[in-house]
Amino acid sequence: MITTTFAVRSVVERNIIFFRRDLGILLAGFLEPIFWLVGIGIGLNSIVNDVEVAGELLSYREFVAPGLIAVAAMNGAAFDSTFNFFYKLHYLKLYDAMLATPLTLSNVVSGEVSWSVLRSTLYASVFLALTAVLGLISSPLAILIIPVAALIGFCISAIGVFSTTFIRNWHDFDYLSLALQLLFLCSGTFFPITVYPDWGQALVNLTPLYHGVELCRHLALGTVGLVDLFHLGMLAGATVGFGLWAQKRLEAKLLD
Amino acid sequence: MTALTLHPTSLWHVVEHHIRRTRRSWAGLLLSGVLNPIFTMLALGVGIGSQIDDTSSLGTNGYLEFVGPGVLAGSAFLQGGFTALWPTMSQLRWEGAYQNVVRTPCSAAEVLTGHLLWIALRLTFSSSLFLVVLLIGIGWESSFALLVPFIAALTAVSVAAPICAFTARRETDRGFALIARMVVTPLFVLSGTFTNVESFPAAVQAVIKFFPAFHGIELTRMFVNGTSEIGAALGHLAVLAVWIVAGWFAAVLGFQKALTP
Repeated sequence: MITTTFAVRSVVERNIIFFRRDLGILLAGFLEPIFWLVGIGIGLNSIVNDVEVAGELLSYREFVAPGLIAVAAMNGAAFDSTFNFFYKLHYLKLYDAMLATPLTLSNVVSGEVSWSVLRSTLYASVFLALTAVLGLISSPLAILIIPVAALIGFCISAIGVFSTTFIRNWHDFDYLSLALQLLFLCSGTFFPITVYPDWGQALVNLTPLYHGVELCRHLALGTVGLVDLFHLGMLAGATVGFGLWAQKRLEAKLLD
Repeated sequence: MTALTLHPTSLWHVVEHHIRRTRRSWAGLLLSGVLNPIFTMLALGVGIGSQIDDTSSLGTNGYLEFVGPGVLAGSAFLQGGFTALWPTMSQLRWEGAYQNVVRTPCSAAEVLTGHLLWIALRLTFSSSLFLVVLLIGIGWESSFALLVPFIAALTAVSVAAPICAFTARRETDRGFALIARMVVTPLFVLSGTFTNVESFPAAVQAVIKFFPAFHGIELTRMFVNGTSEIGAALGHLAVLAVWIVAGWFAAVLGFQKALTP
């Protein structure tokens, strides 16, 4: 028998060894949100009106930057829990191989999710440091963005793995890419959700990235309030719900 | 290198191969090639647009008029770049369809040219659908708008040709993610798609103007908004043409190498 810690760590370690050979891919993940910050947040800063958040007027780049930290966290988890997960599941048959060792299914899932969370946290931390250097962060509370990024990573991993269990072939990923793009564009990242009609705002409240964006923005500004407990609750609830459901579906797929 | 002849029948067979394949994957192409860019345009054009009072510094009446043509040509660039990576590698090596094609009278140069023609055809079609939505949003300004789908196709080929030259020389897809995310995506975001490139430092502007995305986007914006100037338009077209011709030559050599047993 092996301990759970050892089992989970060995799954995480496999990912680390794999990505050590391709550090460029990790680096690209850091840089992508930076391009968007420059191309939209900084590029449009002089044209877009100041945006009001929690009673404070923000310049456009100060508004966009914290939202993109949440996006960085989402991106960190999204690829591993969808594309890579599908490839390992159906092509590499990696999980069949892992389950032939003393690893259990829950070890494997925990290991893969832990890796995604690590990657999310890393991406968000680097991007947080960069936005702080650029003077776009105004509160020391912003340091709490790091654990929030881990939670975003956790939540996106759970939903990602859950969605991937429904995917039949590579073409199905086009639906997933479109969903990710919509989350990226419409979660209050680039403009406040008050632009939408009431039903639109209600809909956005049901999506994960929006809650992450709001949390990061409030922490960056230091205007944390009760509403942030609601955002935390939504993220945590989705993580647990989709995580358990994903595990059920994987058991049916892998253990028969 | 033997004399280069491109037989129209051979080119058509390569294009037809892709049309037949697409009968099984058209939904995906519609999602990634048409709906995704349209949503991007609408979300940013209308969403960010609602937060902007004055777009005179962008040279247009509203933000949608600025960002719509930008996303149209920019996403053609993006799709051209991505298609030249994994899908091209798949045809060349993984599925190996092209290895079988060159055992027929069809040459490697014809395979490559047909491959690029297919990309051009696909982008002409998807950009036409995008253009209809854009024109409904901002209104008809100029009959030059009818040329926009072809400009989008040229923009796609201007990046697809040189990247095909790279892909053909690779044994595996190592480095593809880097090209996609460190070259193609940043050029899509920064080439005057969402904001005026004049807001960037001169050195950055010079780099952006070296690559074809900026020129495709500028041409598209001129044609959609009816602000065409003949001199500037010819200049942009010339840059696209240089990238296409140079990329095509390099890619022909690459395909010949990859497909010769």
